[in-house]
Amino acid sequence: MSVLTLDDVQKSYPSTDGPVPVLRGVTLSMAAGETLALTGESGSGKSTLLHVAAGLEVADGGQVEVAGTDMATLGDTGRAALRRGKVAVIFQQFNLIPSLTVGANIDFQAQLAGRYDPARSTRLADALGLKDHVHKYPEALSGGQQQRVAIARALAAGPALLLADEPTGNLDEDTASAVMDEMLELVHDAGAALLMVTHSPLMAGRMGRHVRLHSGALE
Amino acid sequence: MIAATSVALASHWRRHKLQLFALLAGLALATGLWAGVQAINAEARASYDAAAGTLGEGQFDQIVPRRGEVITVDDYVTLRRAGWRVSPVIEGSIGEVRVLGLEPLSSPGRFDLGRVAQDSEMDDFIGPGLLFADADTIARLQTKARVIEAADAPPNIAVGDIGVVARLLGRDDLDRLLVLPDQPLGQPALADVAPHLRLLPAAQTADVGELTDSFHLNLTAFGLLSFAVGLFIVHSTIGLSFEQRRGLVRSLRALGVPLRTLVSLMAAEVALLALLGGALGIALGYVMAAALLPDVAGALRGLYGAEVAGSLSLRPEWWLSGMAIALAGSAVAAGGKLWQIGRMPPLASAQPRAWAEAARRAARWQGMAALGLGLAALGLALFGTGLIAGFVTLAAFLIAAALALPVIIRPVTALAQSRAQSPLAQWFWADTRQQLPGLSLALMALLLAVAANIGVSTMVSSFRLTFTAFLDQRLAPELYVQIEDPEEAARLQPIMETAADEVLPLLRTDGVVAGQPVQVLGIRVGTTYRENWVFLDQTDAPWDAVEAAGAVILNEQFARRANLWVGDTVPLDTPLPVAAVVADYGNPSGQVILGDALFDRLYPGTVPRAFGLRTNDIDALRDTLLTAGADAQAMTDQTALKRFSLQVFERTFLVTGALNILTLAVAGFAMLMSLLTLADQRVPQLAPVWAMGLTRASLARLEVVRAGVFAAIVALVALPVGLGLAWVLLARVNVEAFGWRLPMFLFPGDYAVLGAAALAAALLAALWPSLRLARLAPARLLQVFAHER
Amino acid sequence: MNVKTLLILALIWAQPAWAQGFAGLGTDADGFAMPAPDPVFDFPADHGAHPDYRIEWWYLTANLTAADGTEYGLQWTLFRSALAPGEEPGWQSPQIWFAHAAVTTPDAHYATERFARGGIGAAGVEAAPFRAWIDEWALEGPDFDTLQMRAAGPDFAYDMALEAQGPLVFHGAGGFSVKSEEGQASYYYSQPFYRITGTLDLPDGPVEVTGSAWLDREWSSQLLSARQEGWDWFSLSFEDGTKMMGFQLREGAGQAYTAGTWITPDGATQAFEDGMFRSEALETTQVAGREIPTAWRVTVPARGVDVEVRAKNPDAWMDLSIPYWEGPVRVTGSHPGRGYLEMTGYE
Repeated sequence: MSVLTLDDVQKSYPSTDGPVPVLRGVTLSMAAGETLALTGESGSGKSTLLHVAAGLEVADGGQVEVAGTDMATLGDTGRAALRRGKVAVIFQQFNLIPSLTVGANIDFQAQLAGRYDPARSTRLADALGLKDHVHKYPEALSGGQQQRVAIARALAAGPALLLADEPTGNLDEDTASAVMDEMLELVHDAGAALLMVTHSPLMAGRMGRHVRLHSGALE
Repeated sequence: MIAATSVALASHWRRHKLQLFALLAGLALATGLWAGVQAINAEARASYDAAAGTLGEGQFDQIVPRRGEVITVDDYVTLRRAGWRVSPVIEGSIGEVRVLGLEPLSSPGRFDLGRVAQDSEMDDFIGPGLLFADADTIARLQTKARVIEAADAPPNIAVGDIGVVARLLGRDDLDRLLVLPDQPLGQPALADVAPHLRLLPAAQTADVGELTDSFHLNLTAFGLLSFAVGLFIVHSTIGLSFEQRRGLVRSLRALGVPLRTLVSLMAAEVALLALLGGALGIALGYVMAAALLPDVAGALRGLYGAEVAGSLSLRPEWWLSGMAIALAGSAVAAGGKLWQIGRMPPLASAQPRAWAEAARRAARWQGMAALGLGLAALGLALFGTGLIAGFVTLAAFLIAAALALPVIIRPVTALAQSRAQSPLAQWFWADTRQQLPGLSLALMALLLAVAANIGVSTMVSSFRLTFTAFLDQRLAPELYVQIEDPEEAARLQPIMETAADEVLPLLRTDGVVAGQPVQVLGIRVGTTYRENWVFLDQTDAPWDAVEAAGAVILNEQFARRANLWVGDTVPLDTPLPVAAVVADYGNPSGQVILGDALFDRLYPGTVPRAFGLRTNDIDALRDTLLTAGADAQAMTDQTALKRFSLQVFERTFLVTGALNILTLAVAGFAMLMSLLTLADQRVPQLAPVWAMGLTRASLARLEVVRAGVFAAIVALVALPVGLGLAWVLLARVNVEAFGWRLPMFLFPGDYAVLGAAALAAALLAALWPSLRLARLAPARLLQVFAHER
Repeated sequence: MNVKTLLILALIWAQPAWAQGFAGLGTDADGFAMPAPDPVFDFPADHGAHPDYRIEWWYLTANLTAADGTEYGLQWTLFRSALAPGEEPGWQSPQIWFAHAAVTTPDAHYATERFARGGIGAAGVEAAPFRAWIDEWALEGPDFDTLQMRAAGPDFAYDMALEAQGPLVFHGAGGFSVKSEEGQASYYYSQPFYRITGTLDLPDGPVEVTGSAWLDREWSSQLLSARQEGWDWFSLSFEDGTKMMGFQLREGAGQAYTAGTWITPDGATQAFEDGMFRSEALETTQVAGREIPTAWRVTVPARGVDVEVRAKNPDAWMDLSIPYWEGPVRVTGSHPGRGYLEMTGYE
């Protein structure tokens, strides 16, 4: 079953010189449990594609289907519900809610989605080496630790689709590699599909499939 | 370098126009409220002075005719030639306008025509028959005489030379003579020169001044509180602008701008903004005062029975004080920040400190400061004496309460978070707590505003209740008749006894009791006294004891001065116990009240100087007495007087109510500005929650709810603070200022309304920032996560 | 400035120009009688008021000595000023009266003033028997040579008896005293020969004093030229029995119009033409925020007079509705003696 289906997706941004097209008819499909690396040079539309897939932005044309639901049929509230229930997003930075502890951050989305499972949260925290940090606030953690919290949080909700935008982009090479290993393993265990934006060939190489975006279209 | 640095510093305001607006608006509102209240006070006082100065009422002794006599011009000349420096006054009315004739050469008045009257017209004051009046009065004055407009003329009075007015009124006698303060050596007694005239000391003509002073004090305290509320806006915006420019300051110093130059320029910038905001505020205060002044004028007219101009002029005393306070307020707000910058090493981190750590530290500091100030306020309230101590108590108490507010809110939100079931609720409370540092100044402002409103309305309402009861007590007899001499008393008393339902002779003499000068009053104990008098403290059956000449009643002023209370004895010819202490407002003298039998024994031969008469038909009783030869001027219809006095407080309420609304509006504005300036910082905090599946609309709704929660907590905290404020005003400040303590009453209905108003102000303030959030472009939220920010 | 001060300035001098000097004094005199040369006086009637003229005064100054040798100065002045010529009864009277009284001690100066309307009897002057009064202040007696004088203020009072020891003295041309080159003039005569005795009531108690007094009578409708800023007026009594009156009317830029009268012990006079009487300030004192000349060199070469005139108390400032300096002086030099000095128009 297809977790994510993009069909001829168009997206442009307004500018003073008229609309600037960012996505020019992207068609893509991902099955459950599949991992896909999305690469491309800066400005090629990688992040936009991710945002559209997450329902954070709305496509101008074409069809976006997440876990069998056509985005075009949803309003703001519906898209938000979809984000809560089926999707999880990990960004390069600022993923965490600064006013909540690490533990509360991990639990938060799962609780929002109504799928809170304390055992799963604990397991994720343990697996990501966060056991000793659950009572701390995010600001007390290093960048790698913060991204681990973001991963734990994303997976704690048991999403069908995990979207990650340069999740290790802010980390040094060794930490990035370690975080990547942990993430891939957990995604695999959870049976979720992972779409990851990256410009690192190394990271892309570790994914099941690799597509490249150039000037808003897949190569 | 200075120019370049200035441009760099000023660029901040170009990029943060909202902050600039908040700063100027905050200063303007704070100064405006202060200046407005000052303007009302200054204008009311100046108008009263102008009226009193012109009329010579209140401040000068007067010579008036004895009953049935008149003052002739010859009497005036005779007195002057005997060495009495006096000035004649004649008054009457033309239509509804009071016309006052003065003798400008001898008048002690301070009536200033000089500003308006032209040279040629000055010549004419005495000669060809001119009157002077303000524009309103001229419009209403129907006379053939030429009337010159004089802006400083007292309201509803046309003033002219005594000769002119005498001719207009067709009079050749005088109404009264004002006695100048400086009299020459070797002056003979009045009785030797003009036995048919009597001297009316100034003290007897002005005895409600204390009420007006109390009113002014009330307004002044309110003005200060309002200013404090506004100052919170200034403080928070100046703080923010300095905080946001730390990076700029660091860069400028790295580029070689000397610290001294930088600090001086920033200080100059604050001064410039303060001047600008202060000027705006003075304009605002003027508008506000002009709108409120008719009510104040009405209130004072009621209190004094004298006129206060309903118009306003720019008096230097209040606009200067407004400017000074705007500058001082900004200096206080900026001083600490400038000092920090002065100590900051050139390459210190430009990053603001981690919020949680900083907030915890600030909370600890604030908690300790609040505790210290609170203890100081308590100590002062219990042991302090003097008016200054009263006001310092007030200040310490309010600042302590304001500082304590975040310290109180923090555990409340923590508790709520721990009790919260849903993740959203948990996040909501956690986020609420995180918002606290940014909003705490605005919340303190709201606290002060609500507390001030609760305090002042408690005070004014208590004042009204007390005063109404006092009027009922003291003005119970429907008709009050003053007596000039024993013959008249002997002649009228039998007639009163038959015509009135109850006759209450009032015996009075001056004496010294327990080392204090007092008025000793002798009264006939009857149902009127028994039913109407309410005591501050009393024995079981005070009136029986007083009637039986076995006890006395003291007024509060005397009880305080002599420290004699129920249970003590008063040293008269034999020591007598105090049966009761009665509140006595608007009277500075101590009084000892005795039964008439005891009074006769102690002061034999004293005749009543006044009678209170109970009746159902005032007009009939008055006619009877007039027929019997009583003087119409000597009879007072106390029912009408009471009605009139009560109107005063209705007007006071109008003014207080308007100020209440304004203060809350300022607090609401402070909140709005804080929320707007925080809005940018909020985006990174909200973006993850949004990304995780909350709509912008629901986030916006939560923002409004949060404001409501804050306001509710603030309102709850404000209640005890406001009541404490009222207590200090009534039980401390008023006692120190006027010698009597006002009993405090509680008005839960009013507080509920005020609480609702505070809630409404906060919700309104949150509305705009929330709407902005609801409509925030997703791109702005996504930027948070973007690779390059 | 309150209405009273404005009124006084406006009414007395036709326009409130005092602050700019005395320019207003010389303006037109419509409706008022004007002094004319070769006057024929009618006594005692002319001791009384002349309501057809704008301005008039009875101006008495005295140098007094107590038993212990302490010297005092005394002033009693009644002014009449008319809004319009003539007299009317009651409040309609256009006549305004005001008076100044002062006592100068070596270390203090007491001054006070009174104001009154004409027409109602609060103030006035009657010729025979002579009576000049305002309130309880009075200068009165059976005739002009024998007078009682009293005045009182909040902190001082005096009661004096005056006895003339010589004849009236007429200034200028037989009592027609010219004040400027443009011809402004007044009627002006004096009684400089009063012997005075009485009691001063001062804050430290009553003081019995004797001395000599000088009374000036002057009336006019247009006293000064528009250019004139103020005057310095001297009345000096020399130890040899001669007396001298002299004044300069300052016209700015060091220019002045001067006049004076030399009075022999038996009352014979010689009038000084413009320029014969010269006065020159030697020292100034800071008084009431102004620089007031309190020491003068006075010379009349034609009479061999070269004296220094020095204020006995430089603080003799009349802090009244119209402020000026007036006080007793000591004279040293060619003609030692004492006298009085009045100075107006110093800003």
